[in-house]
Amino acid sequence: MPLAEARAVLLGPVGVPTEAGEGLEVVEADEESDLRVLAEEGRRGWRFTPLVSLTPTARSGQPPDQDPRSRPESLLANITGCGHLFGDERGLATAMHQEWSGRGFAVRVAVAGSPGTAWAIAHAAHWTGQPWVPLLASAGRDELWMRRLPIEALALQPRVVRALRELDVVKVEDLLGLPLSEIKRRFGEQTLWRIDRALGRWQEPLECLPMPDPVVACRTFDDPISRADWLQQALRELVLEVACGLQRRGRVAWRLVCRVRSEASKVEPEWVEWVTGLVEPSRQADHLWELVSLQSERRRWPAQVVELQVSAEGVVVPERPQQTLFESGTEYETAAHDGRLRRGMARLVERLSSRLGERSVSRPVLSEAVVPESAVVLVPVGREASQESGLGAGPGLELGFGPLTRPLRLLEGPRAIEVMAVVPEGPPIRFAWEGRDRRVVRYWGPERIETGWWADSGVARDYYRVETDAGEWYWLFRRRGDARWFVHGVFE
Amino acid sequence: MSRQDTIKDLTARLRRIERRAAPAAEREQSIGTGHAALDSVLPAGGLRRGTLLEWINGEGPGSGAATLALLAAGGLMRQQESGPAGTLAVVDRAGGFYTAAAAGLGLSPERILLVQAGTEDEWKWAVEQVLRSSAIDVALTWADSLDDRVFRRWQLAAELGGGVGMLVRSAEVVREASWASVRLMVRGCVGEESATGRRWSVRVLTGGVGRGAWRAGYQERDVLLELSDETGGLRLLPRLERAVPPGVSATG
Repeated sequence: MPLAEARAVLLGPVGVPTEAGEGLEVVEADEESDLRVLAEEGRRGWRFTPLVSLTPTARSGQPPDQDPRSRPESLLANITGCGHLFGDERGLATAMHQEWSGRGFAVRVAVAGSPGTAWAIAHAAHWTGQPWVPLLASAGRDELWMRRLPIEALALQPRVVRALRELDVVKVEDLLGLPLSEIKRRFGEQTLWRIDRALGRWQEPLECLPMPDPVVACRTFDDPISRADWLQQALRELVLEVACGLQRRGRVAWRLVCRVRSEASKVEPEWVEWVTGLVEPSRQADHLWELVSLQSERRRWPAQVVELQVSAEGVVVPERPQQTLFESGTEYETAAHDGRLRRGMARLVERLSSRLGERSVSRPVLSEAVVPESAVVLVPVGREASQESGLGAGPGLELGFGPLTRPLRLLEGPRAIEVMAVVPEGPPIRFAWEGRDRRVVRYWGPERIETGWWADSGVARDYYRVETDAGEWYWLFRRRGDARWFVHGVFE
Repeated sequence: MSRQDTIKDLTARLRRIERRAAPAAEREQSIGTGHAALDSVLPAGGLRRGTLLEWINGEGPGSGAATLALLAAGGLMRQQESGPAGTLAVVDRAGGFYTAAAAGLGLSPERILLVQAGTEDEWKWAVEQVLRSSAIDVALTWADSLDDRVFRRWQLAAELGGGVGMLVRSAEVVREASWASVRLMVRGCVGEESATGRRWSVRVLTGGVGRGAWRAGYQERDVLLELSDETGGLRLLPRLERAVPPGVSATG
């Protein structure tokens, strides 16, 4: 809608806001400025994939009012082969969503087999009823997704959309049911091309944002080195060089990658790669070196090293600290306190992950699984620690049990035990555990836990909480198939 | 002077020194656990930041010391002065810490950082790191055997970080020197037939040497606590309620 028209509708003829325009702030659209911001945001996307492109404005050769794809509001990223760095493609999409929504953008993320389909799904996300969650079209199902979307998702010319709607063509599948020759005759070749673009039938090239100079430092040795202390010293120098390189460029990095080339193998030189990830991007030499050296404590240097290389990856412009007008008062102090906590948590997670490995530092998430051992999923904390002053937040799953119903220690696998019961299907009276005979004085149960017939590994158990004469509590179950007893947990 | 007399003399002197300390000031600095019954057991009337607490299982691991530790931790985490609730770091060497149970005790899984350490060295290092971090409000770990120097390092780390370190330990450590400010011996008690909760006998042991420790001046005594399975509330029981029922009782 042109600005003049919007003013007339919302501000009224004499500039007094109408009911619809109350509290309205009118800002003139500035597409050049939008494009600059979009390019800056696109560079942030390098932490997810090196192939990030702005909406190809020039591709259709049409102004934004004629081709919705030309509006400076979308980033297209080729994430082929990057999903595993975030667990999977859903993890990557979620991380992308958090990156931009955490910074105040209203963001929609969609993953599909082609840029056109991804754009279409993201722009028609409101149709799914969950517009603000990442949407993924699994492999080979792009067209299935597209068929259910409204025709606006095809980014057709507005006049074409209007004409189609008059003909009661509402969804993409309605349009695809029409003969192609008829579409071409009535709406032109451009419309056919846009349909192909949205359905991924046209191989759309992405014009990716150019990467800045790589920040790399390397050392080649004339004679192979096997001494760990020498290699450690060389590694330190390289990390400091990379930190200086980041400093000079005014950039910070999300991770350092250390590559070691060894000639220990007689066949061909072998490259070993270590990645040190950060929770908050940094260029502080001491901090980077501390993390790299912590990680190297759990790595073994290969023998006969002939080359060392350290490179900074995920290089981005540092976030400016938020400025406040009044640097005092409760709000400011709270924000500063939260900022300190967030940095403290980020540093702690970085140190722990570097030394113990990323998978050793996790946040437990409760799932709806029936089987106790699957009811908690451990998610590596990684970058999500920086989202809040502590860890993640948000409402948890509704618990279906009381404070004393589940044991604090769940054994990694249920351990078979000998149990004495008065009746075959009855509760336990005595059981032996860790070499001691234990008499049951109180018990609660049975609590039946079983999976449906459709589950891959079926579970059918009758659980009992038991109290022994020594005041200890254990979680036992009888397997319904063969009536064998197991200890599954200890109420520590 | 005989050896016995020397010990008596030293104990008496220590008591005099302890009495000079200001318990009121200690109480002012303490933070309630959110469970009045538990606060009444703790010498300072609550938890003190920058200190270590030992929760000692009187019998086997099923005595429930860790459950009480988590109840205390939950209260501390909810009583943040500003911002979101505090953070609990669980450094688990054995594996198998079951967050669903912690959630049942009222702790939000979103506020739990779970650290799994593979080797003993990594575990000691990880505990020190979380104690040293100001981003962690409570650190919980299981420490059956602990070198005195490591214990001291942890205590200093807790002072630096300002959180509370909770160590769940076995009864074998009672005679060992401790750098914890409070040592609690937890014994599971057999509950009444009709009751649905869990009972403990808790005793504050003397002998801690950390900051704010309660030593010879403190009178050791057993206190009976019961956690309700229905409400999640913890209450103090009079001594008379300690009767142990014979036989087996059951709830379906």
